Amino acid sequence: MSKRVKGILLHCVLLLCVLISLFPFYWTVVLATNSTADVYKDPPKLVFGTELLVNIRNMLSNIDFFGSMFNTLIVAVGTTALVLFLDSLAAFTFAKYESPARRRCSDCCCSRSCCRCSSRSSPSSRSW
Amino acid sequence: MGAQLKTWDEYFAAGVELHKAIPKTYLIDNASDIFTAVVGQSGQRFISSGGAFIGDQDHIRAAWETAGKPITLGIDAKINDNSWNGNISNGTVGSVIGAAWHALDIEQAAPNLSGTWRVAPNAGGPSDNGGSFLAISPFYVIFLVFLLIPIVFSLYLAFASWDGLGAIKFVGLEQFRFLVKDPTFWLALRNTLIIWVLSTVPMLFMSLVIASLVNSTKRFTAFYRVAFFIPSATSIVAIALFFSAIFSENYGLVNVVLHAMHLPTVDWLSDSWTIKIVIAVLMTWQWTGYNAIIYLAGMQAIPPELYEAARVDGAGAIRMFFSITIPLLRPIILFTVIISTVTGLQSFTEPQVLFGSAASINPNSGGPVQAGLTLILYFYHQAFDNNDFGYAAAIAWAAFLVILLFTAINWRLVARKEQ
Repeated sequence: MSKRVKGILLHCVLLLCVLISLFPFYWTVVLATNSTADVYKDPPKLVFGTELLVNIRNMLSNIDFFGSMFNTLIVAVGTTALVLFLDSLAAFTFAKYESPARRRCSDCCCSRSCCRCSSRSSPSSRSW
Repeated sequence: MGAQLKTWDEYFAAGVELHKAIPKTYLIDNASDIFTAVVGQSGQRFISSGGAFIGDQDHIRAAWETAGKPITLGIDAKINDNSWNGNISNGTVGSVIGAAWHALDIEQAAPNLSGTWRVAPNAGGPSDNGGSFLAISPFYVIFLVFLLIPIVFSLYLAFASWDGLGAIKFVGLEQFRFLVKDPTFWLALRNTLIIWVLSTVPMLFMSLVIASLVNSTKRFTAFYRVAFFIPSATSIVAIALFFSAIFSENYGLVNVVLHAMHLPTVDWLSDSWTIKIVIAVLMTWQWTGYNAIIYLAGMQAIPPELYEAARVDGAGAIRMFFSITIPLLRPIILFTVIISTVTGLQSFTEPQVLFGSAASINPNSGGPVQAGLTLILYFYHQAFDNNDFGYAAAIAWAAFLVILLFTAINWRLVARKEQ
């Protein structure tokens, strides 16, 4: 029985962490379905409203949503395709052909990925 | 024969010339060696795994054709016994095709020729290095253009004065001399270090706790993993906007909750310390799950027998955590500490989005009393608001050295205990 209580307690703690982890996403959806006045209300609303379609209409008339989405899509698809193609080409070559130059090149390649890693929070590669 | 021979035809042509110049000398002892070598070059075989001869196939025909050429050209000595090494010695055979130890045979059989012959460099198989270099070149062109050249250029800029448009003027160590006397730089450094400690220490600790909690259960682990990983895959700009909303003074959720609990509300985004706390909370929220997933993967690789043995010996959960989990997780902890050091010391987007990057007066200055001004934000401010690229490059290289220093310290701290 005590093991069962322990298990329930464990999942409660984990669910609390999940709640903190996912709350911003929930709240963003809540904001999207409420009017601006509701957002600034004290206390703020924490449940879904009815203004979703109005907000979407306002957004579409204020910004070029689909244009931006299209740009994002081009960048994402282009980057993915290029990375897959160029990197698999290089990786295949490194794996298949043995030469002293190869070893030097792949060392250099690895040091570059370290740099990539380290620039995770730099503005350009934050999507990492 | 000074030139390196790349193809069989070049080799045969050289043999024809040799035979013409010295009629008693033939190119090779026996053409069958060529047949074997060409089949080998094709990457295939002429005896099947069952021991039968493979006949009617393209690579066999091609090898046969190549091997036939020296016979028609009359440069084949047609020696069918094992006397080839003797024939090398008397000058009947000009070259031998065979395994590497043949060099030793020749050395022993023809000591009179020692030093006058050599092993031909490998001409390569069906594909040479040209093709492989072509295949890896796009990668290295991109590496060169977008990483190596900018790094070298920024190093040059750190010793120069440049407004981004005019001429680049070399000023030597002037930028660094200014840097060490610049109070804003030291403020930015202090801010960066405080934010880094405030975010990394609780983040890694909570990651460990969450990972061991998830590891101790078998239910819903996939769900927990996804739920904890989502924040790290979310746009940092959206998160920063969200945090600026919940920490805002009048309508922010945090202050509303504090008010409801009859606690004094806090002007989160105007005080020097609370600004740093907000940024640290933001980073902690985003990367705790990510690190927990990494720890979890490491914990699952620890053999369960160790825990069973410890349990038999009477160890409790806490004891097992500190005596088994932590020591065996050390390489992974090292990895997360290094990554968190490098990323935490490069915090930029968080303060940039939180504090009026679009302000017309002094943009990107890190909010009230510059409490959110990090090294990279200061670098960005100097480069793209003040157009002082030389000084910005100096800050960037100083930041690099600071990050290098702290990474090295952390590396020593965590890695040394491993021994």
